[in-house]
Amino acid sequence: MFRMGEGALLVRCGGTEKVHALVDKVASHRIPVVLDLHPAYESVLVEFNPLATGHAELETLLASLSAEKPPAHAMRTIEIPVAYGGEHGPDLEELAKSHGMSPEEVVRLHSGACYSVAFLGFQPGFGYLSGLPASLATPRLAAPRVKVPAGSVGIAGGQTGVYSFASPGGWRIIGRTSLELFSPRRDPPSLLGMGDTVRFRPVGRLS
Amino acid sequence: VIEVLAPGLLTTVQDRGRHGFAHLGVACGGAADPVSYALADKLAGNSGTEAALELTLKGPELCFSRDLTFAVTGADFAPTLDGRSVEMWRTQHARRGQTLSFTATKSGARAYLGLHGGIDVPVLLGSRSTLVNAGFGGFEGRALRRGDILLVGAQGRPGGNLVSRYRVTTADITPLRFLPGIAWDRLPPKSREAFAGAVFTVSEHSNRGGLRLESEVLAIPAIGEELSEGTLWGTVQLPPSGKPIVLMNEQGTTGGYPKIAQVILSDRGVLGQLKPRDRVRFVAVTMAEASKLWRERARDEEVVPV
Repeated sequence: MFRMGEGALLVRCGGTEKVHALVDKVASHRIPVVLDLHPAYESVLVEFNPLATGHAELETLLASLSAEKPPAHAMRTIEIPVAYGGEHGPDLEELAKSHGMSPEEVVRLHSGACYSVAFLGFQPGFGYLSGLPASLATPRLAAPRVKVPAGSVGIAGGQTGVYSFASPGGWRIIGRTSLELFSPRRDPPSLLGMGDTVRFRPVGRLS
Repeated sequence: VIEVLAPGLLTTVQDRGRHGFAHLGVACGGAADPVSYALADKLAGNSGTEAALELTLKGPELCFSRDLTFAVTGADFAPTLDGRSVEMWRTQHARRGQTLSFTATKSGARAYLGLHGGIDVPVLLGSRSTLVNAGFGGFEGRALRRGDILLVGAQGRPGGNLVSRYRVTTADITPLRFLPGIAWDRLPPKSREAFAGAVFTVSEHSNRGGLRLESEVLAIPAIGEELSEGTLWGTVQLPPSGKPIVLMNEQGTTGGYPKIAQVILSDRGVLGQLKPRDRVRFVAVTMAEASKLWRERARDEEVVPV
């Protein structure tokens, strides 16, 4: 565990399943001194109130949780309709060309795979999805776009994901969904949750 | 009960921000200078948690359509009420029909307008603050525009008039105190010395997500990218350009650039007062020093009767 400033501990767990287990355990204990959890692929950043506890105390507490069984988790599958290519997927053709495929082949591979939400980060409701077919892995754009519209489906390296809000970004955009990925008025606010299964379904146009 | 006659550059509704949703990718947000915000709210007769206005670089012009108690703190935007200068850092009273105006900032980046009763906007995910980059919370998820009408919670006057001792301080070169980040040890000794010794300039491309720093003499050699890991307000990342980025309160909750340093909690408000072309340098402190400073900081938020 690394002490990241006065009010946070970075716990390197070593794998996505262990990350999910730690987040579920800390969340289920509702530890009041813990303010926020930032899960990632292999680590969880635990933000705490340093006026109420210290690094050492929290390190002991987190270590004691590692022996516990994680709480049961409902498995969900979320289907995301995507309009691939054209104005909604400006990078589809070039991405296909770079892999020596047709755009249709890219769509078939991308929508044929089964993904898992490794964690949410970057922007509210943005899920980092693992499970992208290796043949679709593509580096980020050399120059990020100033504005990527909300709902854009992108590829960056071996990752795929959906922009929940319009933002600057360097992911290669191959399509767009009309689903709202995050709404602060909804409960839960995020369409995707850690560990959920995600599938993309090609549609002719956005509803 | 407040009409926006002119919106200013980026005037938003803010409070202490959101906690408990980082695992969904939601940054804490809230006031970028938490001390000045809390004082504006307390001096206006509230508990220090109500919604206030955050002014950025250029302030608004606001017309009060009823008697209101308010306070202005933070950077000096030369506030005037019907043309007469308003003393900052103390409880003030406006009458119905009066206009509160601000100029551009004289030094510092942000000022706060606290209003007795707080600004009445919906609580979303535990906060009334505006998450500017995502576009939700606060007043319709956005900065104020001309013609907007803001509602204020309570009627009447608070008990007495208050003042605070705290002031925003500015320096020719602002020191930012830091603790080592997880990638600090991976920096070659030369880069560590350069980072802690150089003077950096805040770039124009800075916002509530982060401050981009530039140095004429120095680009710290990149040390590659990492698997994305959690990031905080105050985390200093080193992208391939060699120009450090200090993350602000609307930071992405995770990031893949090496995290070389962490600005201490007590200097978060200092970060919130930096504007483009300001100069900064990084000063190393120990964990014990940082923790002590944070415990003492509660005093900054004290208000006393006039």
